[in-house]
This record gives sequence, C-alpha cells and structure tokens, in this order.
Amino acid sequence: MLDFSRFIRVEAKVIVARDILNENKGVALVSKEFAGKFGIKEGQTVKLTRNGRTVKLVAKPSEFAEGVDVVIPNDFFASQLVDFDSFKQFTASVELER
Amino acid sequence: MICTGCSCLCDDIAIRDGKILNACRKGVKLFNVKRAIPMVNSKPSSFEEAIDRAKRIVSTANKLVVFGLDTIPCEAQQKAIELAEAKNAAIDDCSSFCLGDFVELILKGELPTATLEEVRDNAYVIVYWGSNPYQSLPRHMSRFTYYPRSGKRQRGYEEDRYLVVVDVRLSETAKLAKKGGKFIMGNDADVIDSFLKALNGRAGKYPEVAAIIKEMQKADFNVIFGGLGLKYGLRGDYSRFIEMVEKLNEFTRVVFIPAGFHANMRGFNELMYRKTGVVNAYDFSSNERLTFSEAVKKADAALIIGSNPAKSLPSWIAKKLAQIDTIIVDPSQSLTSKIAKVVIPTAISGIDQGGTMVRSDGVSVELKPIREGVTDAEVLSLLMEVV
Amino acid sequence: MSFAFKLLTKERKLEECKPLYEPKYAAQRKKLEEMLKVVEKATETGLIVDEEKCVGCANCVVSCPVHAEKDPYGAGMGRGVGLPDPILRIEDGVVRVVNLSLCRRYGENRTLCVVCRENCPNDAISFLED
Repeated sequence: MLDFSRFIRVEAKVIVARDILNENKGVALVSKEFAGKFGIKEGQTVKLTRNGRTVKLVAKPSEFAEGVDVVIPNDFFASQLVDFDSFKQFTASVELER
Repeated sequence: MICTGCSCLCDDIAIRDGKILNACRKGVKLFNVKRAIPMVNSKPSSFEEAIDRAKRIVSTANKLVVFGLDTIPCEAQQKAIELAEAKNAAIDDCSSFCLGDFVELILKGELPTATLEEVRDNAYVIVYWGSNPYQSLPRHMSRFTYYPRSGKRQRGYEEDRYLVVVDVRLSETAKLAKKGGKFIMGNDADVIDSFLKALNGRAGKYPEVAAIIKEMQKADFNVIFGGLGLKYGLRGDYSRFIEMVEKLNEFTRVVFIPAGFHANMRGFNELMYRKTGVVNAYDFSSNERLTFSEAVKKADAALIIGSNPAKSLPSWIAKKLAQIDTIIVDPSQSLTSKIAKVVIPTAISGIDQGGTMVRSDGVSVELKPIREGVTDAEVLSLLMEVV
Repeated sequence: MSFAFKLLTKERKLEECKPLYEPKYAAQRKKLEEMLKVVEKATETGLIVDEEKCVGCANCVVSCPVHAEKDPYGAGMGRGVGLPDPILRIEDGVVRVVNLSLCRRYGENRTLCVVCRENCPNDAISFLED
C-alpha cells in the first residue's frame, strides 16, 4: 500500500499561515493523518501544484496541521501558489517527488 | 526603545551589553536588516543620483501607483497620500488584503472596541478568532491578554482569564487554549451560526459555544481578536459576525480588536479614512476604490515604500513591477529592491527614524529612535518637488 | 541507580567511575558521554531551552510565579522583566536563563513547579527529569 503512494497525486486542503520558525526554508507542515494516509515521511520532498504552478517543499509531519492537510508559511514559496482571492486557503495537488 | 516589528509596538525594548532585551524574534529581525544602498538600473549609485532618477520617474509617470506604507511613521504616510493626490495616482497598502476591513468596521462604529490596556486590566474571556498570535504577534498574549496580572485580573491566567481559540487547524495558540479554555476547530460561518443559535437557546454545529457564552456572562468585559483566518473565512461578508457581536453585547460586554498586522497599518488606515472616507485602496484620479493588484495592471510607474511586494504577494506582481518603472524606498535589500529601477535606502522606523505610529487598537505611540537616518518623510518631500 | 541520578544532577562526574574507563567498556563509555552532553547544556534544575523552537513570546517570563511575586509591575503585568537578575529573560529574540537560584525548582525547599514549561505553546522548555 505504501509503495503505491509514490504514484498517487492527491488533492489537499492547504492553508497559508505565518510561521516565523519555518519560513523561507521550503518547509510544508503535513498533518499526521494526511502523512499516514499517503505514506509521507519527514524530510521527503513533496510537489504542490496549483493553477499550473509547482513548488517543491520538504514535508514535516506536524500536530500544527491537524484540521487541514498541509500548512505552508507565508513566504516566497507560498507567493508562487496563491492569488488574491485564495490568499490564505486553497486546494492544491500534492505529489511525492520520486 | 519602541519596536516596530508588528502592531504591538512594544515599548520596553532595551539594548544592554550588546544584547537586545525583551524584543521577540520578529522584532529582533529589525536590528539585523541587510541595509540597502542607493541604486539606479541595478547599479550602485549616489543617493543624489537615485533621487534624481526617482524624481524623473514620478514627474513623467502617467499612471503612478503608491504602495506599502505600513512600516513608516504617520508623518511619512501623510506625505505619501499628499503625493498620490497631487499626482492623481492610486494609493494602497497591505491592509486591502490584510485586516483593513476590520479597521474600517471599527472606525465606522459597526463593531465596539477598546484599548489593549483596557483588555489587560479587565478582560476575562479572550477569543483569538482566525489568529495565531504565537507566530504573528509573539508577545501579544504575554503583554496584553492571557498572562498579565493587572487591574481587575490579578489572578492572571490561572483564574482570571479564559482563553478561546477559533481556527480551522490546531495552532500553537489553540494548543494553549485546550489547556486553559476552549479550542473550536471549525469553519467560521458555522461557528458564528452556533453562537447565534446558542444565544437563542438552540444548538448549532458546535454546541460547546454555550459554555463560552456562559463564561462571558460571568464577567463584564470580554474581547474577540479577529485575524486573517476570520477575514478570509468570511469572504467579505461580515454581517453575521457583526450580528453575533451585537447580540453578545445584549448579555455582556464584548469588544472587538483586530488581532494585529504591520507596525503602522492602522495609522495609514486612519489617515486615509479621515481624508477620503475609506481606509485604503483609493484612486485619486477617479475618486473610486482601486486595489494595488488592480492598479498595478495599468500602472507605468510604482512607488513602493517600506514594503517587499515582490516576495510577499502573488508572483505575477513581481513580474509586473520588474517591467514598469519601479522605485523602492526602504531600508533593506530585498527581492523588490533587486527588480526595482531605483533603490532609495531610508531609515528603520524606531531605530533610526522617529515619528508617530498607531497600534492595532488605535492608540498612538511616539517612537524613540536611538540614531538618525534618512527618513521616509524627507525622501517623499524631495519627490514632491516635481509634482 | 543513585550514581546515575547524581550524574544527571551533576553532583558526580563520569570520571569517578573507574571501571568504566577500562578498554572493554569503551563503547558503553562513548554512549554515556554522548547522552551526558545534553546535561552539560542544562542548568542545575535541569531546565533546557530549545532555542530553535522559541519565538520570544515571553509567556514563560510573564507566567513565572517568582517573577510575578518579585516584579509585579514589570514581568507580572506583561512588561519586560525589571529585575536585574531574573530567572528568564528574552535576549536577542529567544528566552535565556539568567539566574536560576531564584527558581522554585532549585534549592532546599524545591517544588515541582512546571509553569514555564506548561505555558510554552511550542514545548521549547523542558526539564531533565522527563
């Protein structure tokens, strides 16, 4: 089951939140539930894609993403994905980097 | 010294033995800024050359947009507004995608408010709604809300405070609320609906809000801090939220304060409100609302003051700013200063630039700089000479 | 077990265990030295601050009952702590231990006070006994 996760691309609920400890480091906090479901482990690279734009981030399972799927800091990486009408919350497809 | 890292405007910062005391991690960043140098067309230049080139851009611009403004003192903001008006330009700050809406509601009297000192001395139930002060306003809770023992709240967080967090995810502040209050993880509209139902004796999706209302009624002063989560959660329609606050005030006193933002965002909002009747996003050529994102699409020149939009806004903004004649007036080297045609370095508010700033609750604070640098107001006065 | 405990409270040193320095226990000694590196960083009452997790929120400084008692119009009210040598203070954006002799976990009448650790939202403070 875990092997197949490398080929899956899933839609995830992503929110952008201030994170002064993790910002500008290319980190994405992933909820333990989401990480468990798709076999994402700490330190693995994930690709977040939205509206044709993709960023590569390092996944970090965290209790602070509980309630959503992914939390990314509002930094340069988030600026690649957001638009003014989806500034803090959006859906993106998440894929594990092979 | 007063820290201008955020709208808390902490006034107890000191430097002793080379250490910065009492400033949080956000505030300390101001002391470690990589300072900008004057540049024209990406090459180092003299200050006078940069000013000259900027003057030329401003005087020949047909559609100028002025943006940023939230980290500079009121005196400089005032000059920027005058410049925009004289040039029939568009002017906007970060509040149009931050909490400008909340400040406008307060200035119009649609939401009752109070000062942070009043909260510190009196508030029992403290609600952070769509806000995570641990990351955005680190000292907010320890200076003004949950932890101080002050006024009528001498027993502090142990017995005299009740912390509530409403958010879509478990934040660091929510983790504290689970211990000493309540954490409601849910969608904003549903939580507001639950409050309104509970006030009418019915149960909504979150029946636990009844316990929060009960706690609020135990005291005569409670506060809701609204953050970006609430703003974006409600998508511009605050009518039910206003109704909820009104209804709560029939039972007990509940005030609303915007959680927080850049150091002097509220200063800009209040200046604009007094001048135009709106808090931001204004086009002096048409006398209509116009956000920065709309204005920049048609602009041929941009004057960015005290901000780094190339980094913090959707990436197409950076591309557009690189194409037009962009002037940046800011103390630090940044992504925006890399793409701008002219870079004019100025002082850091609170460190080498003084003036007035307005805290998130509307209280004015006089900065206490330790040095003197080139102020934003001086640069704007120079640019005004050609308008 | 008593010797092991005293190693943690720094009342005894690893060098006092002579048999441990025989060649056949080299691997175990190395492991013990690794584990005790953490203790070197800790203070007498075993208070460790993980600076990477600290944002300088000062919840610990303001909630500290000793600060509240000794500095009621300073740290007790949320301001920067006014004592010349407080237990904790925010320096350069993170919390640093300054003077542990005032801490309730220290000394003859020590108590199991956990206020600073409980009020850190990011678990940046920990005590050695955990």
